[in-house]
Amino acid sequence: MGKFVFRRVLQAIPTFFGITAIAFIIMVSAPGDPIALITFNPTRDAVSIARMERSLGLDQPPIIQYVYWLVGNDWVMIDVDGDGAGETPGIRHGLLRGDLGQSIRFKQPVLKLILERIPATLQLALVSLVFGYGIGIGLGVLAAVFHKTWIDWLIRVISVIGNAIPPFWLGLVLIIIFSVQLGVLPMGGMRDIASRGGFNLAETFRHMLLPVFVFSLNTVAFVSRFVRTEILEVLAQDYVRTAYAKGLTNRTVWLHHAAKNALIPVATYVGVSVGTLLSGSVIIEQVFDWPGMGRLVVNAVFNRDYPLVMGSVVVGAIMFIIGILFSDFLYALLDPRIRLK
Amino acid sequence: MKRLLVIFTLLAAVVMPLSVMAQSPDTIVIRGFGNIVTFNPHMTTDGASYQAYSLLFPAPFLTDSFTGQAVPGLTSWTISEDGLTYTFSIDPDAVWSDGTPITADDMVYSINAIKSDVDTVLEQNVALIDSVNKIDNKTYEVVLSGNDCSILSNLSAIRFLPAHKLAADFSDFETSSLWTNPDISGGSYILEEWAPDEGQRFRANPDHWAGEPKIPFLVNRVVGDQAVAVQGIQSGDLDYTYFQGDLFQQIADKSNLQYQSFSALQVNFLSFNWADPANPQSAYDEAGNPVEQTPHPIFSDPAVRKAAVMAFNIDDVISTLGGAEGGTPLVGPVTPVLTWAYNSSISRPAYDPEGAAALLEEAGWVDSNGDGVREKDGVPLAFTISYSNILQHFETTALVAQDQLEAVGFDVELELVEWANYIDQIYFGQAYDATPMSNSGGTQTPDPNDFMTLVDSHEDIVGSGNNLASYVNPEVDALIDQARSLPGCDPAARAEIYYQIQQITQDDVAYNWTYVPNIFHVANNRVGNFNPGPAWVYYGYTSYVHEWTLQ
Repeated sequence: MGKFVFRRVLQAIPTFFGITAIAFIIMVSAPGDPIALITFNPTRDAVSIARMERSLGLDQPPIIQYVYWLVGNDWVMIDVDGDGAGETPGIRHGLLRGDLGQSIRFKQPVLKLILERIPATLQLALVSLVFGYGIGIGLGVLAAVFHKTWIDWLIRVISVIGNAIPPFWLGLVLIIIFSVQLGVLPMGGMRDIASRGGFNLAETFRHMLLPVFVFSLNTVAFVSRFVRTEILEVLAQDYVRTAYAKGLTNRTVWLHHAAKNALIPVATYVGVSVGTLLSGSVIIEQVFDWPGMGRLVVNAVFNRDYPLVMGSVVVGAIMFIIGILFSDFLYALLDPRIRLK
Repeated sequence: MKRLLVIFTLLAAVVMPLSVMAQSPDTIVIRGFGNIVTFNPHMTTDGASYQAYSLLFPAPFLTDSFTGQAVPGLTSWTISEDGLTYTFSIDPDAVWSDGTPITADDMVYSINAIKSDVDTVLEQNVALIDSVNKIDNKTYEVVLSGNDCSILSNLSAIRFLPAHKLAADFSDFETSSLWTNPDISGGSYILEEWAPDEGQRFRANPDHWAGEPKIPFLVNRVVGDQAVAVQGIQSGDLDYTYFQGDLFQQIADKSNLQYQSFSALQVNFLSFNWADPANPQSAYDEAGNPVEQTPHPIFSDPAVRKAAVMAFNIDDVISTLGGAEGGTPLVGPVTPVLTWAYNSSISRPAYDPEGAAALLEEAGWVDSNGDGVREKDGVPLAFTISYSNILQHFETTALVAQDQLEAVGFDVELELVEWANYIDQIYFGQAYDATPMSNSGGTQTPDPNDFMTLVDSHEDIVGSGNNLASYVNPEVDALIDQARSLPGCDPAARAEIYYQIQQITQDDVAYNWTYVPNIFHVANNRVGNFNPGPAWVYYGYTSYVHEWTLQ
């Protein structure tokens, strides 16, 4: 198992740098210019714009920009005044030395901006993940147990609705019902910023109810269908028939033979879900004003804030790779044949 | 099932006691339009930051809510006979929240920081300031290099900064912790907490120069989405915000709200590119010599521009964006909010598609092959409207124009351009045929000169200028200079000049001036002393919020 883990981690390293390189190429190839956005209001003269470009390194070819982002530029002199001779040393240390750079828009370290928001995203996404998988597995098992009954049909309807309803629309509808009409839940935010008290569990719970519900609905829909299908497939296997033939009870067959084996592919999907937490939270955070990474990423892209976009890519890539590794490990743990291969 | 019932009961027990969303009697909640960039007033122009820093760092004077004129506030001023020296006297009792007096040093520091090598967003505001000098602790003078009638407009954006908390050589001007965690205030409120992407919480400043705010606490709560904000003002989660007409119409229940609408301090227009978008050029070369720009294949023809205005019914756009209260049709680059400078006797050409068609026929644009599109000398009357959907009215204007202009023989394509790309390629790049856009001046105390960049040929600069139509008229350039530098700055005399600019730019069809939207200032009924005016340029309330009460 140790060798397996080591091998997979090694394989993840080029994957990580591949992701960052591709993201960087896409980003700098996209039309639009961060300087144009900064100088839109108020407008600046051409000399000022050129100076800004040089000081941010945006006058360099994309490959050089990527190298600077990776290893820093504190080993070169920057030609800020455009006279052809560098006069100011660079100040970036690069990703490999733990420096994600400084946001063009916020003029603050990218790492600081990300660390401020990561906890909120993880809080929302992980709770939604647990909730989504918990309810989804439960409904999937129910649908399989009561196969072709009204319960199965009801769960199917829930699943279709969960897949079909756009989260943005559902979020707004729930806000209108529970915040505007009934006035029982806050319309957004992670807490009541007007409140001057410390952490309040009940308040946190109330703020999380709607976003967690909307966030997890799609997971519930997918997982319930997935689990149902897997269980029905497992129930048709020879070893289940053997188990019944041995005289085991329904409960034992379901829990110890059918469910355990049916959940292996579901467990591996958890890893993929962890990897996509960031992208999944974007819309939810926007609707519910949740102060997490999703909104930061979207605004960074719209503002062509290259360092912040790349910092977000790093976080997303790490989460995705961890998710995939987690899937692999879990699969290997649950199915020894994988390790042997 | 029993377990489920137990869980449900426990959840209800947690939620139900808190189920009544109570508004705090001592806290007003104002919509924050986004995460703030910085508390440094010199480093950003974003509205969310303005909402926050304007409560902490005071402007030198106030802007009258209704006339838009500069009026004494923290300072009062006198002007020398030659109009070149403005002497400001600071309220003798004004202090920062740490007890340090607000002095001339604070404004001298503030202006000199902009004039230094530090990169700020206010460099144009000090372009004509020759020097700023401390006379005594509570008096300073601003000396101009030339007469500038818009100087008060420019100075209104330059706020007092606590010089005693910052390095005199400006070395920490961008990096000081004051800009992320300001522990001092000279404004109406003191920052208690800034939670990124959530908002800021403030407490009243008892030492505020205009008196302690009547509401003890103020929260700027980030509500980024417009649709959510519409719900928030109805639910009482928000006590105050503002909307344009189309969003205001979405408020279903106004029973607990008070509101007033005013023309926005902006001008909207559909820009026709006078120059060839395939070869964008600035109006002057690097040596300052005029450049003969390649004319646009169709919009260089005055008859085409005029016909495009006549065939476009602006009332359809306005009614789509807010019904009868959506806005006011516009003539020229002066916004009607500046009543003293706006020539209301001029009107737009009437909506007249038949007249537009006749004008095109007369100019030689005819549909000779019967395909529904006119042409002249082999050039089809075809163009593309490039637009961003960052504001609803851009899209509406583009759609209405396409529909109505095609009815008189134009062939109009629409091109949706993402905002960053739009600014780079369309607005600054001038690589477009036609585009809907708006301009909102940019300073707190408004002046007509703020909007003249749209028609000033010296702003026709590819890559950085505001004259995106490449409109070049030496007569207008001269009038702009004259109105800005008029000796004595008599408003009536300046108004006469702006009247002329309006008339000429309307006659030339410099742009298709479209309309000025109405802004609805909306507050919960529990807010007292709520007295908005047209010059609350989006965030003008920050100068008056200390007078508000909560009932």
